[in-house]
Amino acid sequence: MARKAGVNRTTLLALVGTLTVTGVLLLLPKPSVGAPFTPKSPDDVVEQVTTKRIAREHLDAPQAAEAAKSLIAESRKRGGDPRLLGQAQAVLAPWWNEPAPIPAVRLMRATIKQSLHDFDGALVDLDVLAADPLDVQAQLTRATVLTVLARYDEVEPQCMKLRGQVEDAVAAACLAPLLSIRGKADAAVTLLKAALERTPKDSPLRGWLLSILGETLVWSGKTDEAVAALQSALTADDSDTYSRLLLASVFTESAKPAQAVALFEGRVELNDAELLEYALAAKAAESKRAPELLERLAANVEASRRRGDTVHRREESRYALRIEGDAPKALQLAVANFAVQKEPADVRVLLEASLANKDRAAATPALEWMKKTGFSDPHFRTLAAAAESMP
Amino acid sequence: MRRSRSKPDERWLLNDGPTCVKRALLLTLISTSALAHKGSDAYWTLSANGPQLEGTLDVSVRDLDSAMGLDSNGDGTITWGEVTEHAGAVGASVGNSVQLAQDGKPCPVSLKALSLVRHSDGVYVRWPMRAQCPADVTRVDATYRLLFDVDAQHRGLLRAGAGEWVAFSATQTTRTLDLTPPPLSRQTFTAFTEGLHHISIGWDHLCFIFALLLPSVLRRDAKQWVAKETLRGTLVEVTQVVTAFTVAHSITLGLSAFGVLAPNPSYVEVAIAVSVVLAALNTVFPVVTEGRWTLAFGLGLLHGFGFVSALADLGASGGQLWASVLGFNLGVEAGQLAIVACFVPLAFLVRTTRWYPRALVPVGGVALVLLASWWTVERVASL
Repeated sequence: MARKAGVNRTTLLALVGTLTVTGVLLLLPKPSVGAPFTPKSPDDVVEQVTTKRIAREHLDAPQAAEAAKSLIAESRKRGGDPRLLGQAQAVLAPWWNEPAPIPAVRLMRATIKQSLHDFDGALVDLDVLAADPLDVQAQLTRATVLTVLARYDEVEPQCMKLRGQVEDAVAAACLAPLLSIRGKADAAVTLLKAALERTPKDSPLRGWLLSILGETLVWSGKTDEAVAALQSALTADDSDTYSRLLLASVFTESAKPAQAVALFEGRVELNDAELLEYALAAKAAESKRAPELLERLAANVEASRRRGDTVHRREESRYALRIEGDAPKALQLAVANFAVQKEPADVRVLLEASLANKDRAAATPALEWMKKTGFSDPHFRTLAAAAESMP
Repeated sequence: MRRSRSKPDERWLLNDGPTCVKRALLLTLISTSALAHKGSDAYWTLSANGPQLEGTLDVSVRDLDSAMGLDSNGDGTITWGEVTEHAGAVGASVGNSVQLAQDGKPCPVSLKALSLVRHSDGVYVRWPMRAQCPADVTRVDATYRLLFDVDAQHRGLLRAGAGEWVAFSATQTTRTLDLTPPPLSRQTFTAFTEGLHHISIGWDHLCFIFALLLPSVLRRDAKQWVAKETLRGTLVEVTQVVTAFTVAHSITLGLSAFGVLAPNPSYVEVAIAVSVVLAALNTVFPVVTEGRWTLAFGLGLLHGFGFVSALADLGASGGQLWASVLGFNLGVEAGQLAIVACFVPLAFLVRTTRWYPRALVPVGGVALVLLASWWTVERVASL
């Protein structure tokens, strides 16, 4: 009997113990995500807003174009905040469907349209604007959009028109990406280096040229030189998202993910492309922050899917392939993306997704692009060869 | 620049020297890196309860500031005081931007007192809302016009009941929603399969059950495991353990499903992992050897909290919620009983071997302790 009582006491203690734990659990603080709350004091800070306020009502066309321009510039400064682009579009709303608004409105409209990947829509305006040889901005933007659409035969004459209108460096920056896409990366490097030599040290042009040089060097497989160029580009312009992304992917791919992670650490505003690159690097580096980054990324991808956005398909395809491990979804996104934009990064996404699915037919447009351009990036060549050898 | 420009609209591009190129760069960048932070979204949920619609509308503080200027003193920070100062005007404007109608007759919308809620990209203002329709709601026409005049890429995302999210945009401001609740039988069945699925993928729950079942065909005698003599003795103990676990997690699942109790899910996950460690330790170093149903009951309470998130995804309310809780519990039960039905007869057959009590129980117990300890470490690390 005595033993029996002892057992019961232990059992009772266990029960009391677990009930206590359950009770304590209910008293612990709760997470703030998802649960509504009301701050205690009116002085509690709810949110930081750094957007400068601009007048948006009763604007005439030149004022609206100016307001849109400042919002687009602000967006660029913040790594491409889409809220500000949406606000710029709203400012232009009265002219959004006008057949022939003033050139300043047209230029902003085209800028926003191409940011939404409405490249054909943007070209309607840019074709008109570029007929004016003095509209340098329109010429440059048009060259960029034509490059994205892989209409390379039209890019060269467009860049040539810039000659004599602006510094040679601008024409060089326009022409260099075309050269390297067409397999003449060495010529592009020479052109850019010459342009850099002629550009004063304090010129804001330098960051831009260095960024293009870095990309060209990446495409030539000259990793060390590319890293140096991209680092200089970032020194020249810290808000250069494009260079940072490129540099991070170079680091991650050359087995130095910790250096890629360091590029993003401490940055407050990251766009989704940066968040993806950051998360991939953090995952490769087995960083403690990786789970949190992946969670944020998943939330953003989910939000973009709910919104029905399609501008993120390149990144979504990489996300599906590298993080979700969903090869069929990655391929579907890569194919849809390639129908809209055809930059080297899009070619690569399509090649990788086709390979992951062992789908030779899906790779065909990418392989044709490789043949047509003669693009010489060694990594792309390897991928293409692997795709070619699929049955 | 080599030439002077005369047309005023070109001045910004060309008169300020190399800046024009920065702008050219700007355009290049946008096209090559079109991705960005997160677009402006508002989150709207609705569920029908007879002729009444209830829900919430979450709008980002940043967006409200862009549209209506919350930052009274212009210092770049929005305080709670500034939110409440503008609450009346902002609420009225928001209230006018969302409309609900049933067969062409309006269902007047009223917003209740606002609070704040955190989403992945910042703090949002949340308005609980209620709308009164003329008759029981099955279909409703929703109109949403908030913020489109400020941000042309804004989206209003609406989820009705457990349905998919639908998006309102500047070019599509009305949508017809089907709020017909699924028949109770289907809701119960969906919840049942969800419960079954949850137990089959819920390794922590499975391990807990195994830790309790492993010694169920044995009893302690002189600090040794010995085989139980009768099947009856085994079945009584298994029934006690399973029933206690079921009753316990049904209690906590029910209480949290109806919002009575709401523990922090991260701590719940840790506690569940610890509960598996304890249950497994009890097979290696038996402390509670009689009446192990008490262990199943006490620790089962924790597991009930762990089921809530799976249940919440079913998005039921009112009578539907009862059906969901019931169905989900039955699903979990069915899953557990299937495991018991497979494991107990086998264990009973081999209980008299030398290796079952001497090797399988302690080795299995140690394996469970190690696994659950690893979960505990992982879950604590991610707190």
